[in-house]
Amino acid sequence: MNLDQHDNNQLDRELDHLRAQLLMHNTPANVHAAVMKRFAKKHSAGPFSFRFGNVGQWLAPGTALAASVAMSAWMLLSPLAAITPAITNDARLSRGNNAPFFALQSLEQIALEPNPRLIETQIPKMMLANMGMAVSPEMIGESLRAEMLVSAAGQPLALRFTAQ
Amino acid sequence: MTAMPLTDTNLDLNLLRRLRAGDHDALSMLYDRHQGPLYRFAILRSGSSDTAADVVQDVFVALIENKLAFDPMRGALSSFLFGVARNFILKRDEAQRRFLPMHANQANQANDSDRDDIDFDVVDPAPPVLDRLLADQRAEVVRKALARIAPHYRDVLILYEMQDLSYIEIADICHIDIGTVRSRLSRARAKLLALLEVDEMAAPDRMQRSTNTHDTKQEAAR
Repeated sequence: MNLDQHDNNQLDRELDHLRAQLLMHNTPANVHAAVMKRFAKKHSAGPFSFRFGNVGQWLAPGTALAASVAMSAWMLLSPLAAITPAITNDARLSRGNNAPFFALQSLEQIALEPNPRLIETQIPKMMLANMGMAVSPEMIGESLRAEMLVSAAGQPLALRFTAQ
Repeated sequence: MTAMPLTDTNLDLNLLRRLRAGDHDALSMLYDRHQGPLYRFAILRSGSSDTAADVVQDVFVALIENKLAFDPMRGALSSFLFGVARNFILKRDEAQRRFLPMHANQANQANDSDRDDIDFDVVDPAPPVLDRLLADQRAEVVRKALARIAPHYRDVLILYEMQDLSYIEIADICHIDIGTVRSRLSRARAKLLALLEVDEMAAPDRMQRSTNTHDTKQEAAR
């Protein structure tokens, strides 16, 4: 199976020659045009994006930060926290206790997302069991309330549990 | 083998971020950086310049449409794009396989992990129909011999020899382990050399002429 030195040298010469010849070949120009046209079509949204152009990329992090602060403030001041003291005593599950998020994607990927948003959702305990967490068989059919950070396309990025 | 420098990786990440924010120039730069290697990979892998052009377009459209889950922690964008291009080519192969004779179909359908275990022939049972792509006769002979190598061996050979990727990168792209990359590369090289020798015996005059031309060009280049 292994080639001797002479064979290896011969094959390397052949492959080097092929590589040199191939370097003269690039994708036809019409492909570049088609790709750019597709991009223009995707980003030719309404007059708002036309007028503000790339300003959006600078506003997006600030908007996301402001939304996060507003969401946190709302959770802290929410009447729900006041009327459910028994539940909010649980440090891990209480709403507005700055419970940590569990990253579902890499931090780099989360950081790359231009417009993440926070949504409330229900997580079946079956899913937690599938992730390797201990769940009592009697409670396997129940769900937990959670907040999920999702990308603009709806892809889950991070998760944290909130009060029931 | 040369690894992509860190600065290139950072540049790609920056361009990708700008692309997602709608920056037209970022897409243009990303395209210029990656279209050539992707096109040349697709040409050798598919044997068709038309298919290769379609594959490059599919890759960049998928990038624009945000359909690709690129994770910078898992490797460079260039390697990731090779994997995407390979997947598009595999999908096309899958569509074409429906029209192959049954014996070729069975051989092709053995999955990647089985192929090494059953001593699968390194020669493709149904090689692609090839148009003439390269003006240089010797290079064209090598390209056509390469096209006769079975696709899963061809992938490894092209990515290593033509694209200068590392074993680790190839393993990630082809979803195989490094040992398999090594063994496939060794078998593919041996088979390619054997095919070239058969071609040479079949057309000694032609090969001698082109080899002489090749040697003369190399001498001139030196």
